[in-house]
Amino acid sequence: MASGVASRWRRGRPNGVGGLARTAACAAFMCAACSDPVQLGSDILWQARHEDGDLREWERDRRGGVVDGVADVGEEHARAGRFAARLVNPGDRIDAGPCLWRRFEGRARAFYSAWYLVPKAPTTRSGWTLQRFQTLVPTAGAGDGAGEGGNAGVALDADGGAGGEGPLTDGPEGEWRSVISLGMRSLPDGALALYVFDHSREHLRLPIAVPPPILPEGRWFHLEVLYEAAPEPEGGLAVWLDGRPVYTAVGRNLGDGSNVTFAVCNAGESGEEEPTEVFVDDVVVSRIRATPAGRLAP
Amino acid sequence: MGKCPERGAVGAALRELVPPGQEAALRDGVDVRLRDDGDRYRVRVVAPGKRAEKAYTDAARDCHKRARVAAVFVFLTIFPPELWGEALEGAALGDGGPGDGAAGDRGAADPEGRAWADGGGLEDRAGESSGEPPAPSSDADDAGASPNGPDGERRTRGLRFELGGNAEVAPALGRGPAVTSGSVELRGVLGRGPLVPLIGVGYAPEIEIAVPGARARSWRVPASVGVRWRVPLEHLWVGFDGAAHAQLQGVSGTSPFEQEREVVLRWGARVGLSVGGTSAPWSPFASAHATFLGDRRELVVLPRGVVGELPRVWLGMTLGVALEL
Repeated sequence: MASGVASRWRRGRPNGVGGLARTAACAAFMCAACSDPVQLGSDILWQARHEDGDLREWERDRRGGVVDGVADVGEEHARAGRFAARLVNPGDRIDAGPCLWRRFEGRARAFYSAWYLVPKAPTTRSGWTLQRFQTLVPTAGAGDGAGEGGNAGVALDADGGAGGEGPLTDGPEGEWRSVISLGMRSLPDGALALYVFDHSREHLRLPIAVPPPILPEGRWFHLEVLYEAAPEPEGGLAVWLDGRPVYTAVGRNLGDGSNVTFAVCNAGESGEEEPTEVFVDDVVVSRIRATPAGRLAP
Repeated sequence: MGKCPERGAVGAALRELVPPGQEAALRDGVDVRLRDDGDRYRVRVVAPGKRAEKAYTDAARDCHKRARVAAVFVFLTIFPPELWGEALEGAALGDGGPGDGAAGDRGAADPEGRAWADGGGLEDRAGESSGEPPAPSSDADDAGASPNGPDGERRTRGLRFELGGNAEVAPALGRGPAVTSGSVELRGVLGRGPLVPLIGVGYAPEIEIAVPGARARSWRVPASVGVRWRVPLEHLWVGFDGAAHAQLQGVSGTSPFEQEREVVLRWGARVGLSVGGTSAPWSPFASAHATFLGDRRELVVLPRGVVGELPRVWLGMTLGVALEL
């Protein structure tokens, strides 16, 4: 947080020499092309654009990484720029498939968004997780659980893992993890519908929206979640698919925001033998909605 | 035969006629000559662009009276009556007014006016007594520098400054928010005549701009170069202003987590209507103006993208004082 405060007032970056040059050019030519947008700043808390060609944005400060499978960065598909992350799920077992995760502390309310590309829709035989939120929720008498979040990230599992879509067991030191997953499941016509699953025994599956929010095959789609990591009744989430609100869940006990782990995944069991690839790009955690029309760079 | 009138007496009488501040009109290029012909005397005045000579009959040889008549003739030559309403009046206000002095002098001169009628035309100047200008004299350009033209129409002076306070509003148009602002502005009007060049520069301190999803603060330094078409009225003038407009605008985001600050150069046009008093050197003025900025400046917050625009239309009122030099 301290680094965020320290970097709040950045004077030079967009203006700098380039800005002065643009201003001078305007003065010299008074041209209509000099109407560059004015940058007011950024509400991005963290982002992974993968333009370095690797996963270091996830792994920076040892607050994230890859778990349970193969994830890399390549040029095969990219939503913007040159690179995107590729998550490969062999689909051979119920909890198969990797997640890229990142831990955040002291962030009670944030918008988590990512672009996904499913080149070929699998036939899901289990819950198939695309996005996951995991929060440490102190229980009465629990010790200070802050700092355990890294382990929480490693502990991510797929819906339909051991215990099926049931809740996770209590966490260490008398804590338990609130876990909410967004995933896709096959409809009879082969389309993929987006669902929300709360691992709390009190909630479990949210009813599928009507009409079902369909995840497109073969093109990038934008999934964004407002995650309110707060105790009941303030805790909750809202989900947008390609900018359209599709799910809302309120009155959840989602902790106090001291430790939230966010992950993008490609985890589940498929009916096909070949692995299923999911590409992920332009992952953003921000204080305001990113929306599909949002910008990640000036 | 002694000189009658005496050159010094004419000079003294002339000095009484000339209103304060107008002595310079008698200084340069004015040549006054007197000639005593016994029961007649002659006065000749040569000034830039003017030449007059008159002979008077005075068998009584009243030298004091002759001096006053000669002084009035010189005065009327240098300051013909059609200029009294402007040069004399404007210059001597506050000192009892040239009108007062002129009226008294004209009253003294009237009897001599009849004598002029008797005087006839120009005569041979041989044997004229030559004299220095009896009083400090003049610069004929002063007549041209008066605030009134030859046709009596009031004209601007050469240099005019206007300092005013602006109240401006930018209506909500498109994605631009509604904003109000105060500012100060200094304008300069250069030259004379109805169509004069106009320049202006101002400063609008920081105000808050709120758009959906973001807040920012912004200051402006506007400047304009154009022309004013000035129409004189009875006691006022009305000016129609048109100018090219440019402004430096600083914008600082205040709501985002990481805040940015930029200074942009914007451009457009400004039109206005001004009304002012004609008193000099200080006079009040008021104006209304509209500024149109030609460039579209979107406001961007990451990751949302465009959240609004900087205002492109400003409407304003100005009250201030003008100084004419």
